[in-house]
Amino acid sequence: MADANEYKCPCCGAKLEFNSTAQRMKCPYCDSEFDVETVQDYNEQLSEATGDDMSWESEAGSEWEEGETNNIRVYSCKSCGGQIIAEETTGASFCPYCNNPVIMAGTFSGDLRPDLIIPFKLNKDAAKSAYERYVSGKSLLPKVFKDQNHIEEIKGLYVPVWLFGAQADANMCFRAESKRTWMDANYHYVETSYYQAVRKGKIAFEHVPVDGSQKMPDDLMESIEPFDFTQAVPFKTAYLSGYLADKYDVSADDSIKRANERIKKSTEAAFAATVRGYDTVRCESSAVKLNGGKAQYALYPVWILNTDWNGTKYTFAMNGQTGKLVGNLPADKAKAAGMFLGITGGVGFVLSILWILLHIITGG
Amino acid sequence: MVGIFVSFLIGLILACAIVLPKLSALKTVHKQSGASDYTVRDSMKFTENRDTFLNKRVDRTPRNTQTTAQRK
Repeated sequence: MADANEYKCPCCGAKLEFNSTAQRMKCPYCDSEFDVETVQDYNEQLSEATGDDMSWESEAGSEWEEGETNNIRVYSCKSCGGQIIAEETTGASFCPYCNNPVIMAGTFSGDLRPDLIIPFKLNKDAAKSAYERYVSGKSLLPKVFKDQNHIEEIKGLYVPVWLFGAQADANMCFRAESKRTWMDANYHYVETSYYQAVRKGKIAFEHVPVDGSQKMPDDLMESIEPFDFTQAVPFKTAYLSGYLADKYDVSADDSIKRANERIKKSTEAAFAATVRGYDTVRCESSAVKLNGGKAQYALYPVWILNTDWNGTKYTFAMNGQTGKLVGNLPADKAKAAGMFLGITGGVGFVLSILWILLHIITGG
Repeated sequence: MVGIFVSFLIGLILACAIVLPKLSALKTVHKQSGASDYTVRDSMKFTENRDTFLNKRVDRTPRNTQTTAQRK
């Protein structure tokens, strides 16, 4: 059984949580605040003084069947001793018995240790407010959704992401046309000039994120971009306290394809934008080669909001750093159809009357 | 009749312009198309950047129907 880390308050012994506003570890009971490094050192010293060994041997319970425990781990809460059963990718959670924040030791150690983390800047209240702003002012959202709907779950989650950086060497060829028109007494003339535009060069990308979690939908994660990477700091497990966290279960090798797609598209767009002064431009050939590619492993802060309505689950995500909130909402189809027909009919009717009046006045 | 048809066509276009953006505002989850947010500033450098004139073509359309073309 693995240990689940907690960070104890040096003043009162309660469990510390990372406070996104103060950007420090804060005790929810005595309000003491500490630097992340101070708390980490203090708790490491505490953990060294654990020499007792009073283990029991028991044959109670049946054996796990083969393969049954492949994806789960059992942790022991250091506060109440309760067993926490979690997926092997879970890195931080809450004890279901005493609700203390716990960090699963080992999930982020060795090769699995993230290089960087962007700490949460916005708290749960900010996520609630952002959601309320998001659903307000949307006239085609069913009114009952707003009235009956209550967010059932809000959780702060550190999502594992791979950050890719590389220099892209581009070799592109475009076909461009420009047109000139004029006329004389007998003819219209269109003069079309054809050009070949060649663009070769390089452009660099850094920190292109790719979702490293299977549980987090890729489109949802990409929708809350961009994150401000200048606020990333070296990873410390203390930042996870009070939040949920997963380690990656999509490898860097499996994530490269998506990073390549995005880099190739932006490289082509950047070079295509330099072919100017023509009426039409068409890309005839394109080759993009990456050099010096490197990947980093990071954790990004995301608030996840879940709700059910009419048997459908709706998930919203908020960037825990910038506050950008996204999520698909249901549409009131009857209201949309009514609005569509009302505008078409109303405008059509008024303009028809005006046209008929104009026709009568002018005597046509 | 043409005027009435055009009136309702304008109404239809106006309805599309008003209703469709309201519907699309309900769907905000979509994949990013590229990585332009992650371009390193001033990193774009050309090793070759040229535009070459290939040819010119003039199409001449008589005021009635026929089209003739000539290459220069």
